[in-house]
Amino acid sequence: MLTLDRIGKVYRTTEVETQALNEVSLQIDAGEFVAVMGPSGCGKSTLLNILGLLDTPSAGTYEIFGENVSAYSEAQLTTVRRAAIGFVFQSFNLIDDLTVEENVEVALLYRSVPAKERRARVAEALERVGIAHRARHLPQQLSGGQQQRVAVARALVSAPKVILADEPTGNLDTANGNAVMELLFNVAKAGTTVVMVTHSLTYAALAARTIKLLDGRVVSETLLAA
Amino acid sequence: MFRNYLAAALRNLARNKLVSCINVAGLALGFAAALLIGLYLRYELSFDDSLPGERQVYRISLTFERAGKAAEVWDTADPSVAAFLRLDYPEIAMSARIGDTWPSVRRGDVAFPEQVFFAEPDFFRMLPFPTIAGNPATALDAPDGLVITRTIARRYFGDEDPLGKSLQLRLQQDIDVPVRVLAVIEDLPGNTHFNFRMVASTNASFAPKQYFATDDQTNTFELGAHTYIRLRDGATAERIKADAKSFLERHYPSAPGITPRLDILPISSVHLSPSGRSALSPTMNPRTLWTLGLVGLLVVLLAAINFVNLMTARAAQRVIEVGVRKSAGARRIDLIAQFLGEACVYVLVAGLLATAMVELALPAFNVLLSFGDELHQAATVSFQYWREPKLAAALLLAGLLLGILAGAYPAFVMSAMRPAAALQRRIAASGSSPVGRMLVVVQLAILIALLVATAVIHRQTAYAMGEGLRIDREQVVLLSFAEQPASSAFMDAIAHIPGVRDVTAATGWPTNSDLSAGNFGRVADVQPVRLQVPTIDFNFFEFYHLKPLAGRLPSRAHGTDLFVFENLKRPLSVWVNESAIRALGFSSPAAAIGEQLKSFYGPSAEPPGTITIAGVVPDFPVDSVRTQIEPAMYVVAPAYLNLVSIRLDGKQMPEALAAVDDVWKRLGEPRAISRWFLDQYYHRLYFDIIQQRRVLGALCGVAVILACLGLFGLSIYTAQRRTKEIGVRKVLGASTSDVMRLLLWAFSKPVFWASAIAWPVSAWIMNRWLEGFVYRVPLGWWLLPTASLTALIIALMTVSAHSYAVARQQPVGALRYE
Repeated sequence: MLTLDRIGKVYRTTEVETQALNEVSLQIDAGEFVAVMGPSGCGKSTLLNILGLLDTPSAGTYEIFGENVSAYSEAQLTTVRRAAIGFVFQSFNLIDDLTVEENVEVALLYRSVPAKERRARVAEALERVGIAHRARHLPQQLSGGQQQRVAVARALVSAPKVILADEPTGNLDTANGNAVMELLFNVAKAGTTVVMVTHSLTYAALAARTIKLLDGRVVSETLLAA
Repeated sequence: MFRNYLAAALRNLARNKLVSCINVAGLALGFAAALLIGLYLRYELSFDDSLPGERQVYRISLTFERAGKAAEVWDTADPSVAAFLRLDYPEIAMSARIGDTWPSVRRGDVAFPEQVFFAEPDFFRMLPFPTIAGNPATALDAPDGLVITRTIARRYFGDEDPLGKSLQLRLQQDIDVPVRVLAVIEDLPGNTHFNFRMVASTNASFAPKQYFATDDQTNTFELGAHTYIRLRDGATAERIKADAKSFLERHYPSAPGITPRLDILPISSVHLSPSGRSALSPTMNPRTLWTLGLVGLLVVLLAAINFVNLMTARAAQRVIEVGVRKSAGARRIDLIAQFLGEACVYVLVAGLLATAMVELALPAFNVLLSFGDELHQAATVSFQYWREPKLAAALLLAGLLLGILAGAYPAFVMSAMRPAAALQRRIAASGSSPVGRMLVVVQLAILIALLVATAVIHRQTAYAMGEGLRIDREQVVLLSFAEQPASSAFMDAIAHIPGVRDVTAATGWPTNSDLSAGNFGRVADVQPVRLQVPTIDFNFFEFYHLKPLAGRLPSRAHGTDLFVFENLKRPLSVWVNESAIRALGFSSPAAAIGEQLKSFYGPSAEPPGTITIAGVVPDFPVDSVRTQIEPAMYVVAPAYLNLVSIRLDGKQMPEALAAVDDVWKRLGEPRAISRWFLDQYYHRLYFDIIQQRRVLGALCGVAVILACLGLFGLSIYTAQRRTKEIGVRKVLGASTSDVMRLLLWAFSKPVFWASAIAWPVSAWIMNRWLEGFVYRVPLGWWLLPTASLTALIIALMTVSAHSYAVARQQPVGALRYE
């Protein structure tokens, strides 16, 4: 479903050139739960941004759901992203000026979903992550764990085919991290493809496959024992 | 979706109350200033365009061109012109002449000196002014008919119905003539060039004949009558205009060296045409209007720049929202629509606030624009948008357009961000982007240019009203005798009043252009030089503190100094001005002393006695600093002088003026005294540039406030953006003053770039403006760096308080922020 073929990504400024990814090739099938690990600066977040069509590669090709999107324009990438991808970020990235339910609703606003259906799906998503009782609160009124649950709800509400989670537990304590991981695990179990960047071996062990990166390259892939 | 956008916008606004208020208030202030200027322009362009049928009404006047000299423009015409025009051009349906006098008006114990116009009966048929009572169209058919305005009705009749009741006019000594009020009209609005409040009929036996009688034998023009014609419906004035030269040649003999020109002007154009002599009211130079319009646009631009900068800076704080919305599938157009919509909401809120500000400011604005005396209508700029749907719609559209234009830059910048860059906050905030920096420079350039312009106009106005006059006009009261010269007993009595420093007299105002003139020359000359011939008292020059450039001043000790009409053969000493010295060809003032002049008299006149130049005095403006000073030859003739100048010492003014009034009652004329301060004359003469100075000064003040608001808002965002940097610098040892220098330097650099733009532009524009004055101040190159320094001080004072607060913060607070 997601096929990267010799993907490279270079960040250039006037004086410095950084090779964030170098000849990365991998394939992620539908329904897989994949963990991506590696030291800081190895290109994990860059890989996730490219997978999520938030950034474009400097080299190589990327096929998503059979479409080669390597040369797509920003508008075309938006169309694909809107249809199929949900995101969970390490720093939650909730909009401070919107309530919990309004934040979750943002994921449906650009998909031509009628207002009544939006409200119903938002309520269901909040219920699913156990934060419905805080629907009218603003993000700054929630704890970190609660904010991340809202972010997970936002990622789920549009029923994406793929969820990309960039260190979803990085800013959480153990208890909250476990709770969020449980949500993601259940989402993956239900058939959604989940690609998660993590530093935690414990959380990586929940994934069916772990890909390790070092200096922008894939150095190993480990399958979970059945 | 709209609800989601609105919730985000309103809550963001509430979270940043101070900057939101600055943004909206700045925009509202800019809108209000521009709206007031726009309303003022509309007002000035609307003179005399609201009367029914005004498009068919034209004013007829005369201009006299002389080779090598400035044209002599009059707002009036010879009394015979109207009749000849009706004879020659059948497209003229009617004509009417109007002229003014200054009688005393009385009803019972109530008496005032009033300006009373006499008009032909067709005047109110030609121009149907809004009527309260009676019928103005027929009122002047009666020889004793009188048309008055509402204010005059209240003054003399209170709450009584004035129709049919009488007032007494004292036009001549001891002769009161009754007139009957046959119509009452509304007070004239501010936007008309007419300024009458009382109009009597030319059919009256006591009407001033010199304005209205025609004299086929005369070979000079009498220029007292304001003449108007109305064309038949559907007719145009093109044939008359094309035939104007021939018309004058047919009916008026030519004079050597003078070419008359007939001016035919639609009355709606009178206010914007150059003011001639005997103008009914001050005119407006169209260039002034366009200048003010341009400045109004610049003020809006300033407000818009503030808005763009602050919106972009605020948008930078919402970068996460942009990234989230994009990752959720928002297209660029969705984000553009969101931010543009927010900008339009701001603009509409600012627009409503501006509307309220304009309504509150209009009364004071009208005072600012008005003459301030009862002889001239007060300005009546209005803003009745509820009665003018087109105006309301135009304002709404302009607001939306501005919202779109001003919101476009931040909308396009933010929507163009890549989602990944947005989510990682890898963006440049406003103020550090090239466009942001350029906008700040443009803003400061506009401010500097406005400061220069205001300073130059102020200097020129002060010069025109002060040093440019070359006479001392402090505390000078003028009063006029209408029928007889001022007697020596009267002059002595005035001189002995406590509080009166000096008194003198002349036949005209010290800057009067309506003087008699003659042709004179040096004894050997064959070509005449036209010289104005003002008649004055012995102490006239000393009164106005004019020192001789050569020779001496008039003195009773010299018998030849006094002009005696009964003995024209008597040798006469005269005084000439600098312009006369040049015109007569003398090499210097000293070279003219003792030289004789001859008069180029007409064939039927007797040659006068010898005329010898006894002294040369400096030029002083006969008309205004806009026109060349005419060569003049002063003649001393105290027995024939009717305009008295009284200089007060400035102490106990009410008592001194009351004493003057008392002397008038005893030794003056039987009518009510007519006196005014010389300052009022100059006020009228330079009213347009005084008005320009006031309005520009107010706009400059608005521009300063806008610049301060914008800089203050930017300083907040700049400090936020550099919080981490400030924290790190403080950890590494920077003091509060080091940090302040860093922050203040960021706001000083744009002033230098702004100066590079503003200096040449403002210097060029103001030099062109000054060229409209014959006598003018130099530009004053020192004004340019002074304006820049002022802008720099304004910028630093605005941002220093907040910068100090930021610089004093503990570094850990800044680092924890990250």
